[in-house]
Amino acid sequence: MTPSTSWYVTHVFQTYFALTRDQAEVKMREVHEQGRAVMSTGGRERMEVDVQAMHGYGLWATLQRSGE
Amino acid sequence: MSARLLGADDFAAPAELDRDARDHVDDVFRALAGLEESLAEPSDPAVRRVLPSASRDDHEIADEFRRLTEPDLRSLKVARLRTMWEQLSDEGAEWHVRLDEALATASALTDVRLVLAARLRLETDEDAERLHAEIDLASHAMDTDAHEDLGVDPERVWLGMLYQALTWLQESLLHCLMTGEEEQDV
Repeated sequence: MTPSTSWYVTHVFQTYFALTRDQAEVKMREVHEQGRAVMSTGGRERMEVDVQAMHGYGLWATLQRSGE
Repeated sequence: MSARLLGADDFAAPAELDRDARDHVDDVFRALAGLEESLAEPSDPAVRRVLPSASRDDHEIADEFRRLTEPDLRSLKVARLRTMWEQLSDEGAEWHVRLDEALATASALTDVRLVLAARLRLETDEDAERLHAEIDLASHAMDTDAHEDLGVDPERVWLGMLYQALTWLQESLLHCLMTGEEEQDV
Protein backbone atom coordinates (compact mmCIF):
# COMPACT_ATOMS: atom_id res chain seq x y z
CA MET A 1 0.00 0.00 0.00
CA THR A 2 1.45 3.31 -1.09
CA PRO A 3 0.74 5.45 1.95
CA SER A 4 2.77 3.39 4.39
CA THR A 5 6.51 3.79 4.21
CA SER A 6 8.46 0.55 3.84
CA TRP A 7 10.46 1.05 7.03
CA TYR A 8 7.32 1.61 9.04
CA VAL A 9 5.67 -1.56 7.69
CA THR A 10 8.86 -3.57 8.30
CA HIS A 11 9.16 -2.26 11.85
CA VAL A 12 5.51 -2.98 12.69
CA PHE A 13 5.77 -6.54 11.29
CA GLN A 14 9.02 -7.09 13.19
CA THR A 15 7.65 -5.74 16.47
CA TYR A 16 4.13 -7.14 16.43
CA PHE A 17 4.69 -10.57 14.84
CA ALA A 18 8.11 -11.02 16.50
CA LEU A 19 9.88 -11.56 13.16
CA THR A 20 13.56 -11.03 12.41
CA ARG A 21 14.41 -7.95 10.38
CA ASP A 22 14.96 -10.12 7.27
CA GLN A 23 11.66 -12.00 7.67
CA ALA A 24 9.81 -8.70 8.17
CA GLU A 25 11.40 -7.22 5.05
CA VAL A 26 10.35 -10.24 2.96
CA LYS A 27 6.73 -9.78 4.14
CA MET A 28 6.88 -6.02 3.55
CA ARG A 29 8.06 -6.59 -0.04
CA GLU A 30 5.32 -9.18 -0.57
CA VAL A 31 2.70 -6.64 0.52
CA HIS A 32 4.25 -3.93 -1.63
CA GLU A 33 4.59 -6.04 -4.77
CA GLN A 34 1.52 -8.29 -4.55
CA GLY A 35 -0.75 -6.01 -2.54
CA ARG A 36 -1.12 -8.56 0.25
CA ALA A 37 0.65 -11.14 2.39
CA VAL A 38 -0.61 -13.76 4.82
CA MET A 39 0.70 -12.56 8.18
CA SER A 40 -1.05 -14.81 10.61
CA THR A 41 -3.21 -17.94 10.63
CA GLY A 42 -5.25 -19.48 13.40
CA GLY A 43 -8.60 -19.36 15.14
CA ARG A 44 -11.09 -16.57 14.50
CA GLU A 45 -10.65 -14.78 17.83
CA ARG A 46 -6.88 -14.73 17.59
CA MET A 47 -7.09 -13.42 14.00
CA GLU A 48 -9.46 -10.66 15.09
CA VAL A 49 -6.89 -9.53 17.65
CA ASP A 50 -4.19 -9.39 14.96
CA VAL A 51 -6.41 -7.55 12.46
CA GLN A 52 -7.39 -5.00 15.11
CA ALA A 53 -3.71 -4.47 15.97
CA MET A 54 -2.84 -3.86 12.29
CA HIS A 55 -5.71 -1.37 11.96
CA GLY A 56 -4.32 0.33 15.06
CA TYR A 57 -1.02 0.76 13.19
CA GLY A 58 -2.85 2.15 10.16
CA LEU A 59 -2.23 -0.98 8.10
CA TRP A 60 -5.17 -2.55 6.28
CA ALA A 61 -5.59 -6.18 7.31
CA THR A 62 -8.59 -8.40 6.56
CA LEU A 63 -9.96 -11.66 7.89
CA GLN A 64 -10.23 -14.52 5.46
CA ARG A 65 -11.49 -18.07 5.88
CA SER A 66 -8.86 -20.71 5.20
CA GLY A 67 -8.94 -22.18 1.73
CA GLU A 68 -10.45 -19.07 0.10
CA MET B 1 -7.08 28.59 1.69
CA SER B 2 -9.12 25.79 3.05
CA ALA B 3 -8.33 22.11 3.03
CA ARG B 4 -11.00 19.54 3.71
CA LEU B 5 -9.45 16.99 5.97
CA LEU B 6 -11.34 15.10 8.63
CA GLY B 7 -14.41 17.10 9.54
CA ALA B 8 -12.45 20.33 9.38
CA ASP B 9 -13.81 22.96 7.01
CA ASP B 10 -10.82 25.18 7.51
CA PHE B 11 -7.70 23.58 8.87
CA ALA B 12 -5.48 26.64 8.50
CA ALA B 13 -4.21 26.88 12.08
CA PRO B 14 -3.43 30.31 13.54
CA ALA B 15 0.23 31.09 14.17
CA GLU B 16 -0.37 31.42 17.88
CA LEU B 17 -2.75 29.21 19.77
CA ASP B 18 -4.99 31.23 22.04
CA ARG B 19 -7.52 29.82 24.45
CA ASP B 20 -10.32 29.81 21.85
CA ALA B 21 -8.15 27.82 19.50
CA ARG B 22 -7.39 25.30 22.24
CA ASP B 23 -11.12 24.92 22.93
CA HIS B 24 -11.64 24.40 19.22
CA VAL B 25 -8.97 21.70 19.22
CA ASP B 26 -10.75 19.96 22.09
CA ASP B 27 -13.95 19.99 20.02
CA VAL B 28 -12.12 18.47 17.06
CA PHE B 29 -10.72 15.64 19.18
CA ARG B 30 -14.16 15.03 20.73
CA ALA B 31 -15.71 14.84 17.26
CA LEU B 32 -12.99 12.41 16.12
CA ALA B 33 -13.76 10.16 19.07
CA GLY B 34 -17.37 10.20 17.77
CA LEU B 35 -18.52 7.23 19.81
CA GLU B 36 -22.14 8.21 19.48
CA GLU B 37 -22.00 7.67 15.72
CA SER B 38 -23.45 4.51 14.28
CA LEU B 39 -20.76 1.95 13.63
CA ALA B 40 -21.33 1.37 9.94
CA GLU B 41 -18.71 1.47 7.21
CA PRO B 42 -17.72 5.14 6.89
CA SER B 43 -18.78 6.87 3.67
CA ASP B 44 -15.73 9.17 3.68
CA PRO B 45 -12.83 7.43 1.89
CA ALA B 46 -10.32 9.05 4.28
CA VAL B 47 -12.09 7.62 7.34
CA ARG B 48 -12.31 4.26 5.57
CA ARG B 49 -8.50 4.26 5.30
CA VAL B 50 -8.02 5.06 9.00
CA LEU B 51 -10.76 2.61 10.08
CA PRO B 52 -10.85 0.03 7.27
CA SER B 53 -13.14 -2.96 6.84
CA ALA B 54 -11.96 -6.28 8.23
CA SER B 55 -13.40 -8.16 5.27
CA ARG B 56 -13.51 -7.23 1.61
CA ASP B 57 -16.51 -9.36 0.68
CA ASP B 58 -18.29 -10.46 3.86
CA HIS B 59 -20.34 -7.56 5.23
CA GLU B 60 -21.52 -9.56 8.22
CA ILE B 61 -17.94 -10.17 9.39
CA ALA B 62 -16.93 -6.59 8.60
CA ASP B 63 -19.88 -5.06 10.49
CA GLU B 64 -19.46 -7.28 13.53
CA PHE B 65 -15.73 -6.56 13.66
CA ARG B 66 -16.38 -2.83 13.40
CA ARG B 67 -18.94 -2.97 16.21
CA LEU B 68 -16.48 -4.81 18.46
CA THR B 69 -13.28 -2.90 17.69
CA GLU B 70 -14.04 0.58 16.38
CA PRO B 71 -14.58 2.33 19.75
CA ASP B 72 -11.17 1.07 20.99
CA LEU B 73 -9.44 1.89 17.70
CA ARG B 74 -10.87 5.42 17.71
CA SER B 75 -9.76 5.98 21.32
CA LEU B 76 -6.26 4.70 20.54
CA LYS B 77 -5.88 6.87 17.45
CA VAL B 78 -7.33 10.00 19.05
CA ALA B 79 -5.09 9.60 22.13
CA ARG B 80 -1.98 9.28 19.93
CA LEU B 81 -2.93 12.31 17.84
CA ARG B 82 -3.65 14.32 20.98
CA THR B 83 -0.24 13.44 22.47
CA MET B 84 1.49 14.51 19.26
CA TRP B 85 -0.56 17.72 19.11
CA GLU B 86 0.28 18.58 22.72
CA GLN B 87 4.00 17.95 22.13
CA LEU B 88 3.91 20.18 19.06
CA SER B 89 2.02 22.89 20.97
CA ASP B 90 4.82 23.20 23.55
CA GLU B 91 7.08 26.21 23.39
CA GLY B 92 10.43 25.75 21.72
CA ALA B 93 11.86 25.12 18.29
CA GLU B 94 12.60 21.41 18.77
CA TRP B 95 10.28 18.44 19.00
CA HIS B 96 11.63 15.62 21.12
CA VAL B 97 10.13 12.12 20.83
CA ARG B 98 11.15 9.54 23.42
CA LEU B 99 12.30 6.20 22.00
CA ASP B 100 9.48 4.36 23.80
CA GLU B 101 6.95 6.77 22.18
CA ALA B 102 8.49 6.63 18.72
CA LEU B 103 6.28 3.86 17.31
CA ALA B 104 3.08 5.52 18.62
CA THR B 105 4.22 8.80 17.07
CA ALA B 106 5.00 7.06 13.75
CA SER B 107 1.52 5.48 13.87
CA ALA B 108 -0.12 8.86 14.49
CA LEU B 109 1.82 10.25 11.51
CA THR B 110 0.61 7.26 9.47
CA ASP B 111 -3.03 8.11 10.23
CA VAL B 112 -2.50 11.72 9.14
CA ARG B 113 -0.73 10.51 6.00
CA LEU B 114 -3.62 8.12 5.25
CA VAL B 115 -6.08 11.03 5.36
CA LEU B 116 -3.86 13.16 3.12
CA ALA B 117 -3.35 10.24 0.70
CA ALA B 118 -7.11 9.79 0.40
CA ARG B 119 -7.64 13.52 -0.25
CA LEU B 120 -4.80 13.49 -2.79
CA ARG B 121 -6.29 10.32 -4.36
CA LEU B 122 -3.01 8.40 -4.03
CA GLU B 123 -3.72 4.74 -4.74
CA THR B 124 -0.63 3.45 -6.54
CA ASP B 125 3.09 4.18 -6.78
CA GLU B 126 2.35 5.88 -10.11
CA ASP B 127 -0.10 8.27 -8.38
CA ALA B 128 2.62 9.20 -5.88
CA GLU B 129 5.16 9.74 -8.66
CA ARG B 130 2.70 11.97 -10.53
CA LEU B 131 2.20 14.02 -7.36
CA HIS B 132 5.97 14.42 -6.92
CA ALA B 133 6.23 15.61 -10.54
CA GLU B 134 3.43 18.16 -10.02
CA ILE B 135 5.14 19.49 -6.88
CA ASP B 136 8.52 19.71 -8.65
CA LEU B 137 6.87 21.66 -11.46
CA ALA B 138 5.19 24.06 -9.03
CA SER B 139 8.39 24.49 -6.96
CA HIS B 140 10.40 25.21 -10.09
CA ALA B 141 7.83 27.80 -11.18
CA MET B 142 8.05 29.47 -7.75
CA ASP B 143 11.87 29.49 -7.84
CA THR B 144 12.01 31.02 -11.28
CA ASP B 145 9.11 33.39 -10.58
CA ALA B 146 7.29 32.08 -13.63
CA HIS B 147 3.72 33.26 -13.98
CA GLU B 148 2.36 31.05 -16.71
CA ASP B 149 -0.53 28.78 -15.83
CA LEU B 150 0.93 25.36 -15.02
CA GLY B 151 -2.39 23.61 -14.72
CA VAL B 152 -1.59 22.50 -11.16
CA ASP B 153 -4.01 22.99 -8.31
CA PRO B 154 -2.31 25.05 -5.54
CA GLU B 155 -4.31 23.29 -2.81
CA ARG B 156 -3.17 19.91 -4.14
CA VAL B 157 0.44 21.12 -4.22
CA TRP B 158 0.17 22.42 -0.65
CA LEU B 159 -1.34 19.18 0.69
CA GLY B 160 1.18 17.21 -1.37
CA MET B 161 4.08 19.10 0.19
CA LEU B 162 2.64 18.42 3.64
CA TYR B 163 2.36 14.74 2.69
CA GLN B 164 6.00 14.69 1.55
CA ALA B 165 7.16 16.46 4.73
CA LEU B 166 5.30 13.99 6.97
CA THR B 167 6.68 11.08 4.95
CA TRP B 168 10.22 12.38 5.47
CA LEU B 169 9.51 12.95 9.17
CA GLN B 170 8.18 9.41 9.59
CA GLU B 171 11.08 7.83 7.69
CA SER B 172 13.65 9.69 9.77
CA LEU B 173 11.86 8.72 12.98
CA LEU B 174 11.88 5.06 11.87
CA HIS B 175 15.54 5.37 10.95
CA CYS B 176 16.34 6.45 14.55
CA LEU B 177 14.14 3.68 15.93
CA MET B 178 15.61 0.88 13.78
CA THR B 179 19.26 1.87 14.01
CA GLY B 180 18.77 2.42 17.77
CA GLU B 181 17.56 -1.17 18.08
CA GLU B 182 20.53 -2.51 16.14
CA GLU B 183 22.87 -0.74 18.51
CA GLN B 184 21.08 -2.30 21.47
CA ASP B 185 21.48 -5.75 19.93
CA VAL B 186 25.27 -5.40 19.72
